[in-house]
Amino acid sequence: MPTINYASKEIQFKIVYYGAALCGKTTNLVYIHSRIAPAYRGDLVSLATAADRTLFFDFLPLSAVVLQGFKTKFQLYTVPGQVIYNATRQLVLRNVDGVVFVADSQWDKMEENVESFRNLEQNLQKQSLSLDVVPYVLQLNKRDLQDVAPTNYLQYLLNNRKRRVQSFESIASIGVNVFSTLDAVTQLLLHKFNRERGKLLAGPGGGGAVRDR
Amino acid sequence: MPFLHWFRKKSRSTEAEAKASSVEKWRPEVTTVTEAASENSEQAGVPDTPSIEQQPIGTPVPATAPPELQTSSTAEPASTPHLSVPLGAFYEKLPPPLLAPIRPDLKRLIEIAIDDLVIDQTAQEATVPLSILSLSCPDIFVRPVALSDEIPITFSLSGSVPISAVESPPPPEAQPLRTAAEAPESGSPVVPADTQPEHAEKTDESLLIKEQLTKSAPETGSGQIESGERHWAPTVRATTASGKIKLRDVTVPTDELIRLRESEAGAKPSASVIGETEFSGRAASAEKGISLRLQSVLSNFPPGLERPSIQALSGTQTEIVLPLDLIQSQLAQGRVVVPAATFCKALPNDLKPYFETIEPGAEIPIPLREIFLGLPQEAIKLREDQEIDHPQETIQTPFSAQAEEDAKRFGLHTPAATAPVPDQEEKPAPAEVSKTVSAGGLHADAGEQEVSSPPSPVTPEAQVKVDSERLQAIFLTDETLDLPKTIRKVGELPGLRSCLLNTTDGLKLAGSLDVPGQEQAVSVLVPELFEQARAKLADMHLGALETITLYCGRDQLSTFLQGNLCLTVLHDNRPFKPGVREKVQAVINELVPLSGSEKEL
Repeated sequence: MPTINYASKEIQFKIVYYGAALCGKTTNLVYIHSRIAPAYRGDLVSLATAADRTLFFDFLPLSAVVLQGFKTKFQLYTVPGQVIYNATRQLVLRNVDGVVFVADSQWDKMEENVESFRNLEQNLQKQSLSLDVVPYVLQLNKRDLQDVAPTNYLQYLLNNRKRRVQSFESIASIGVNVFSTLDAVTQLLLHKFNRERGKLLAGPGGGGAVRDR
Repeated sequence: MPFLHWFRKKSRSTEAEAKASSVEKWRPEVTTVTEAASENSEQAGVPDTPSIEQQPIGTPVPATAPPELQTSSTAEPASTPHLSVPLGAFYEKLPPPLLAPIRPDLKRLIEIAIDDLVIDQTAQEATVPLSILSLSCPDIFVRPVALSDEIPITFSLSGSVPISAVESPPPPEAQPLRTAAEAPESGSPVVPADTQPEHAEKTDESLLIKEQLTKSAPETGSGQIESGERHWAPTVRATTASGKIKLRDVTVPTDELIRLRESEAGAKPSASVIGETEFSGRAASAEKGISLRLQSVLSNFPPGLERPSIQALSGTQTEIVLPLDLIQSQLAQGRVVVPAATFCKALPNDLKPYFETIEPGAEIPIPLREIFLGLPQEAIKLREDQEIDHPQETIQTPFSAQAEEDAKRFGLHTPAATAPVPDQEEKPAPAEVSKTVSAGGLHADAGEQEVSSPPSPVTPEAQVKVDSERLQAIFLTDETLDLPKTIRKVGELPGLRSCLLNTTDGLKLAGSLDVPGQEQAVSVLVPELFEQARAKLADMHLGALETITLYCGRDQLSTFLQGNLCLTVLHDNRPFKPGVREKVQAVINELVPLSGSEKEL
């Protein structure tokens, strides 16, 4: 559920880019950051190692449209993909509103994709959430490389649940379908917000689903 | 009393029909045995034992039926024929860690149920799971064989003798097997057509085998059965709880053997299971096996398992066939491995020795790419009850404009899900994008500002051509980049304040530093300093000098030198942030090859 600040009339949505190590999560954020005018974006905070591996998370605040009289902000996060940083991933996932699962299309990354997807499910479960309720989309990244798996196999691995979600073939390094992915997950969470807005915008006393800041 | 007579006659006939039908109902279950029993009776000289078919209809099978019938119709396992195998036939092939320290008498005969054996008629070899062997001779093992220890043990049939299951003592001497019809080829096992008549006569099962043997020999003539190959008749058919399975020319992987054993232990194995046991290495049908190039598997072989002899096979054109269900069941995990035992089983005989040293439980990864070359499409079918999660109506989001722009730029018709990706040859049209401004959402990047700002002065005679597309890739932008823009973008990288590009002879090309006086000094002195440092460091063999960073009071500046180009950046009170130095180096690497000055050098 989004964070709603009634004092400043702001709604904040938290979108987390999730996926295996080196699948291109940070590259997504870098591209988004490069394409959005400075007036509408904050700094891209990236806590990375010397080898450009995300150490903690990347954070990109974006402010945008006005919804129901509330200024809407989007916070984009990435998680560290390496297996050992699961506690950090759990922390970043707290209060998530939407997820972009970035899959690495290379053949030798299939197992890591599956592990990461399962890890996402497990970490959501620890917050009493599941992919059945959290809006999410798939991004099949690195489609420009030579040694990539066919998309139907990636769908079989990652999109074979009861609920089939949107997926995008992307080349995040040059921006192919980066914004389409973000647009899609944003639409999903705005639809969800619209469905629940009566409950959410009724104010702190109006419903239990509101997170005050 | 005609009516009473008719009634008595009718009731007797009805009773007889009922009994006859009851006999008919269970007759199929014992047909094989009864046929064998009747034939046994004739051959074994027991004519006074009536078979079921010889009994008058309406006569129920007595509770005290002859023991042959009782045993045959109820307790199948007790009737299983056995093979007596000398311990030495397989002892050397057992995993040494599992063997007891005391070496047993290798001439000792071990009984193994024929049902548990898979017999290769061509090679005259039999294969049995290690766990079965451990049950047959537990004393030679140091501990019980666990599932993880399971491997198939293949041994030669020479010296083996078929015996009855109920026969307790093994024959005093193992006699070679001979074919029923004629002498075998040299070195091949032979069939005991008449070698052990006294044993064969003792049970129905041994007689059944003998009957099969005697039936097959005349049919095939000269010892050949159906396919024209030479076969050892008693092992051509093995009886299971569900009937007979033809094991001829069948190569069954270990896991299939285990499954077969489990199904036999259960009540009724399904027909599909039986069908699956028909899987045969190279001759497998397409729906049960998948053909893979061995070379591809070896290219992905685990380094820990690779031996020099295996490396020598790198150019092999051999194909192996692995069970499809074994592969298919793992596809959802994104990784496929097969046990080394299964892998070795699928290898042709001439290549098996190369892999003998690999531990049978080791996992051999199979490249997914190779699997997908021969994988049927339905193997990765999505579930049919999926609900598509697409919003019915489109909401204009803050990112819709950029998505549409990108879709146009990359030739994507719609920014919809699973939209195709353009070919690599398709290049973006950066100029259009940088000028496009979204209407209601977030605006495009600083391209507009870049266009409006005046370009830096560039000395005309020393212009450096830039490869805009390569630089766009470095800066992750679609803006058309010329030299001034490139240098400005370098200065805007995180942690940097400004950037200056000049030639090594002090000619300023683009950019600027904060203080004009610094520029003059830096343009002249820093390249000289760099060259001197490079010359001094050459003796230290540290590799090419790429960057020098000078810490001067509160100011820090770094210089990059490539060819005759010198690029200097001023830091924003701290050293390079991760990745920034590499990015600047990449920029100057792109500039140098196109430098007009360099051509003059």
